[in-house]
Amino acid sequence: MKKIIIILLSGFLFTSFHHSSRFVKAKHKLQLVFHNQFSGKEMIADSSYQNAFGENFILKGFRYYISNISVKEKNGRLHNISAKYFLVDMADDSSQTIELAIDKKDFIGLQFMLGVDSLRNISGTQTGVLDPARGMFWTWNSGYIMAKLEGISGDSKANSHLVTYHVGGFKKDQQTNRVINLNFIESHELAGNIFRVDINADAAAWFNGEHKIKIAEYPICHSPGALAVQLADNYSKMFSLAGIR
Amino acid sequence: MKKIIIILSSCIFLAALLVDAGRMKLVSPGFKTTLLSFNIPPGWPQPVYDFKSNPLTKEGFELGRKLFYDGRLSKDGNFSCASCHQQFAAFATYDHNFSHGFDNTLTSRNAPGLFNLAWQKEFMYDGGINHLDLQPLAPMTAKNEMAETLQNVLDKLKSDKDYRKMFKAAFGDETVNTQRMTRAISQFVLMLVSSNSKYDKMKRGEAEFNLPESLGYEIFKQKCVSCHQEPLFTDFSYRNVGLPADATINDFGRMKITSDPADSLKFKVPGLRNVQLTFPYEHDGRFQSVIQVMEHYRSGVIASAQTDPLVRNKMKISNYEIGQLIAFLNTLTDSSFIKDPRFADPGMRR
Ligand code: HEC
Ligand code: HEC
Repeated sequence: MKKIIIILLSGFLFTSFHHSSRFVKAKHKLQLVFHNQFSGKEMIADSSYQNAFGENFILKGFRYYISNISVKEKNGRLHNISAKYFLVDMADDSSQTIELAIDKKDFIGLQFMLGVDSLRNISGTQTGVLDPARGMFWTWNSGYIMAKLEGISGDSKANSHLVTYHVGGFKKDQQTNRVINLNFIESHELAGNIFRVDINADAAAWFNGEHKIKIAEYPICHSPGALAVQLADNYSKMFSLAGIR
Repeated sequence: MKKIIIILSSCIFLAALLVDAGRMKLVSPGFKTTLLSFNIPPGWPQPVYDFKSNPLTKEGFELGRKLFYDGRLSKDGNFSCASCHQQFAAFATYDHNFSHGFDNTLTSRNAPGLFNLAWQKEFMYDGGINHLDLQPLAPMTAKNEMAETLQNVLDKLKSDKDYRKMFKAAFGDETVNTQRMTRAISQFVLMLVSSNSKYDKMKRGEAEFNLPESLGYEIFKQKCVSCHQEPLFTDFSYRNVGLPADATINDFGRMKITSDPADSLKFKVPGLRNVQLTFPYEHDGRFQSVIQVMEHYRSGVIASAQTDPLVRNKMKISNYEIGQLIAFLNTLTDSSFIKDPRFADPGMRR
C-alpha cells in the first residue's frame, strides 16, 4: 500500500513539476512595435530622403538585430524577459512587432541590445534569425552584421552610387552591438492584458550623431573597424519612444 | 482497492509522460544514430573542436561526405568542395597555385591540404574564420569559388529526396538549415586525420629513418620547429616570413582581419604534413618546389619591420642540409590517408 501511494504521489509530482516549470506565471503580453523612419518620415523602399547634410538617399534596405530585452522595474532593477534574437526588417512587416510574455505589471523603462553578443559570434553556425543564410553574416571574417542600411545616393562615389553600411564587429575595439535604454516619463501600470510600446527607429541618426558621417566621404562600410564603430555609436541613438498603450 | 490505485496511478504517470513527450517534440520515434569514435593519435594534444556540440555519427559523416563531393553546392553545379580539395593531393588542389572557381575565375590563395582540422582554432591563411562549422560558408558564397547563395544551396538540398532522408537519419527530422549542413560537413572533414606517415611510424617504433632522413630531422628540430611545431608541424601562429606581396593580388594576410599594421604580410604557419603532395607552396602558391621554399629562407627573404626575427637575417642552410631536410619532409607523406576509401567520393554525384 505504501508503495502504491509513493507511485501515485510521484505521478502527481511529475506532472505538476513539469507544468510549473514551463507554464510561466506570465499572464500579460508586452508588444514592442518598431516604426522604421528616416528623418521622421515612414520608411518606404525606393523612396528618397535627405540626411542632415542635405545628401539625397534612396532607401533600399534596413535591418537590425534586437535581443536581450529587459524591463526596468520601479526600483531600478532590470528584469530580463527574453534571451531570444529578433531581426527587424523594413521589408517584412511581421518582423516589426515583437511579442513577449511578462509577469511584471509595473515598470518604468525598457532595455534591449541592438546586435548579437560576442558569444554567438564565436560559437559556430546558429539557427533561426541567426542562420547565416539570412544574409547578416560575414563569411570571410567570421561575425554577424549587427545592422544594415542600404541605398543609393548621387553623393556616393562608390560603384553605382551605392551606399552600403554593413555594421558589425565584436572583438576588442571593434564592438558594434549597443545597449539601448528607453525610459518612460512615468511608471506605467498595466491596464489590460497587452502592453504595447511603440518605438521609432530613425535611420537618419546613422549619419548625424556623435559622429558626422557624410555619404560623400564614407559611402561604404563592409568590415569591422573604426567606421563601423562610429556608425554603431550613431545608431545607438536612433531609437525613441513613440507611445505607450 | 489496490488494483484501482495501481491503475489510477499508472494512468496519471503515463499521462504525465505523454504530455511531456508532446511538449519536447520528440524527433521521429526510433531515431538512432551510430556514434563514430574520434581517435587522438598517441602523443598528440587534445583537439580544440567541441565534439559535444556536434557528436560524430556515421549518418552525419556520410551526409557530410556527400555534401563535400556534391557540385550542386555551387551555382552552376561544377564546383564541389572536392573540385579544389582532392584526396590524392591530401585534399589540396593538385599542382595549381590557384584553384578554378565559378565562371572562369581563380581563387586568390593556394588551396591548403585538409587534415587534422580538429586541432585548429582558426581557418584560412589569415585566420579570418573562427569556427570549423562556419568555414564552408566562405567558399560557397565567394564569387570566385562556388558563387552560390546559402538560401539557394538550402533550397536545392530541401528539394532532394535523398538529402531529406539523410538529414533525417543524421539529425532526427528532415529540417535542412545552415547549421545542420555545416555540422555535417564538419563531421566529414574532422575525420580526415592524417597520422600514419613514416614519421609517425618512426615515432611509434614501427619504422626507422635512414641516414638522410634522421639528419634532416635534426636540422628541422634546430631551424624549423619554433614555427612548424610537432606533431602538427604548426604552432598556429601568424608570421611574416619575408615574402613580398604580389602587386596584382595585394594580399597582406592577417592584417585584413585585424586592421593592425603589425600584422602586415603575416600568414598562418602551415602544417607540413603531406607537404610533398601539396605543391605549389606558400599562401599564393608562388613556389613550385620545396627547394624553392628553402632557397627563399636562405636567400630570398625581404625583411620588413614585421618580418619574423627567426628568418629575417636569412637562414644558413647548405645544399646538403636542403637535401636532408627534403628527405625528412618526405617522411611526412601519409599514403594510407590519401587512399582511405572512407574519404573518397561516395559516387552518388549526379
Ligand atoms: C574554388 C576552390 C575551392 C572550393 C570550391 C572550396 N575550397 Fe576550401 N579552400 C580553398 C582555398 C583557396 C583555401 C585557402 C583560402 C585562404 O586561406 O584564404 C581553402 C581553405 C579551406 C579550409 C581551411 C583550411 C585551413 O587550414 O585553414 C577548409 C577547412 C576548406 N577550405 C574546406 C572547404 C569546404 C568544406 C568546401 C566546400 C564547401 C571548400 N573548401 C570549397 C579553395 C576552395
Ligand atoms: C618564423 C617562422 C618559420 C620558420 C622558422 C620556418 N617557417 Fe616555414 N613557413 C612559415 C610560414 C608563416 C609559412 C607560410 C608563408 C606563406 O604562406 O606566406 C611557411 C611555409 C613553409 C613551407 C610551405 C608550405 C606550404 O604548404 O605552402 C614549407 C615547405 C616550409 N615553410 C618549410 C620550412 C622549413 C623546412 C623550415 C626550416 C628550415 C621552416 N619552414 C622554417 C613559418 C616559418
